[in-house]
Amino acid sequence: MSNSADLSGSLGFLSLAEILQLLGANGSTGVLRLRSPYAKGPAFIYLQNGNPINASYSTKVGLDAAFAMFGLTKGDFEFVRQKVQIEQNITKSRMEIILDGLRNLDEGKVKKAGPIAIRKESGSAISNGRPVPLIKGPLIDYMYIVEEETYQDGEKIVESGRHGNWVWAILEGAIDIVKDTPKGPVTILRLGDGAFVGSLSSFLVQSNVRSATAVAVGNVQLGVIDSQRMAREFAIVTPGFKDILTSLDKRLKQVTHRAMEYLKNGHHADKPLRNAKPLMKQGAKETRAFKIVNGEISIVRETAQHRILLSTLSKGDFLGKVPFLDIGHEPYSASVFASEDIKLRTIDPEPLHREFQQLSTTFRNFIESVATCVSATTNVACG
Amino acid sequence: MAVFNAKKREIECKIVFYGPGRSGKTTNLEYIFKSYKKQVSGEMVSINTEGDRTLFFDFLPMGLGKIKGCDVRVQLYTVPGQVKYSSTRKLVLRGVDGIVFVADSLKVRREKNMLSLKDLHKNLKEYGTSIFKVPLVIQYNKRDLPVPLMSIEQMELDLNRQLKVPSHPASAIKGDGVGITLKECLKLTLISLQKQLKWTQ
Repeated sequence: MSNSADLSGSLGFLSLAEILQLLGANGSTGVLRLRSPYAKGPAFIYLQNGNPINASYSTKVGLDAAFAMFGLTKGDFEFVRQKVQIEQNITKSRMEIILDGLRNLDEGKVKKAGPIAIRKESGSAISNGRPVPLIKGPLIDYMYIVEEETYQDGEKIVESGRHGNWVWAILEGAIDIVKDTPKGPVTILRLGDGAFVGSLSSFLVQSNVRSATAVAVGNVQLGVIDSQRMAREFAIVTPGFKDILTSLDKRLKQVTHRAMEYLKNGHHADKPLRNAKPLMKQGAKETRAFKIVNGEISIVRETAQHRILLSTLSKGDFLGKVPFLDIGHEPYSASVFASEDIKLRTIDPEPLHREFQQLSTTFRNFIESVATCVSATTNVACG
Repeated sequence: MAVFNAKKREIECKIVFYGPGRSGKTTNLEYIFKSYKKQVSGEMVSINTEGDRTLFFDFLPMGLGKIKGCDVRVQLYTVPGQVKYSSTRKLVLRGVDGIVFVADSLKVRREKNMLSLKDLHKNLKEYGTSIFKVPLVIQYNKRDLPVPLMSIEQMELDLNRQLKVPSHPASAIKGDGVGITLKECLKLTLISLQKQLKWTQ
């Protein structure tokens, strides 16, 4: 965000509709710019005395561009007061643009640009009589793709128990993430366009053992991610950030295990937690994040009938709210219990968030993809 | 939450016409737009949303005087009722200062009225306010139609038993009862604003 902006902030807090109303009430003249990691290019709206007179977004101009920008609901905006010397090609009134823009969004004519969508499609896979969530990701940055590979229906991309460090992004098609159980394989998740195949541990440890099998559903086109480049980027992140990623990977593995158990047995036989004191109540308004210095933590989802243990964390792991990780656990959707000897240290999320913002888009997408998998898998585990 | 615009020395507040589809929200607004033309600033914005049109215009009510030396500008909206228009509803209902609930007097629409009022209750809650706190006026519209209508008493019982807010019969298409409904709502809205901001005149 440049320092010369007269008004700037987050689109999550103030939407385009609200910004336009604000600038309109103020009669401002200048250029409004939206920046979103999911935008298809630079997005500008030019205002004269509070009224939009022109706009441009990727290849679109004028009203079409302005309407398309209503789909950008995540990211930043900045408004710079300046003389606008651009031809006027929007004549609709401000409120008309706002109301029409929102209508297009609500009617689905303009798509909400977002990171990763979880969808339960009617035509999607069924495992043990229940639908498997489908996870999609944003557009792939081809700079990071070194090679394209095609897999036929049913072919295994990675196999559980084998060693390997490659990570793929799905360019087209879908794959199933499958866990082998004594009763046969169960499908945990289905990944679609834009999602990543491979885990964070591919960069964390030298020789990574695959924890699940990935099988092509129909013909799939995958892009091999430039692991050298990712590893280089990974090498320079701070130890604190690395710990978060390590811990996130651990959670995904544990939650996947729980999901597998649920799909296999249909229920959880969790023993009541012994010697555990409640630390955070599910739904609590907790905005801090912590690192475990000593002791053990249990992350528990409380549903109407059950308490489901999602993950057991120990020294070095994080818990609480990390701003860029939306994993659907504590504090909003899970409770936290601690052992008697628990010792926590508060983490300042700000530097971590800044560090996250500075990562390349591909790396960020990868981390977000893992976080979404944690969230979706948790829902599978909780039935 | 009214907006104080220091530049124009205006207090801007928002009144929303709510109610089931086809109950006459749009007709109300069109009548106001036509017959109070002098007090209307700017164009009427009309958006074709499924089932109902969404209308918006700016209104400078005369005879209200100034509050602390500021003009009062009212934004009038209708809101599309269908579930899928959540972004529009959010924009319209967030920070609403006053609501006119337009109920349909037709016997066959009885359930629709109650569902819509329930919906309003839910929506307001979602945007951080309560149907019991927000200035609200109910209008029993379409009294002129020669088809089976519900009695005012019955409608009061259906919709206003708990709320106990001012209510008016109306025929928006002829304009009967439109002005008084709006005036009543404006009055309640301004009283509530003064209370909120601890203004005394």
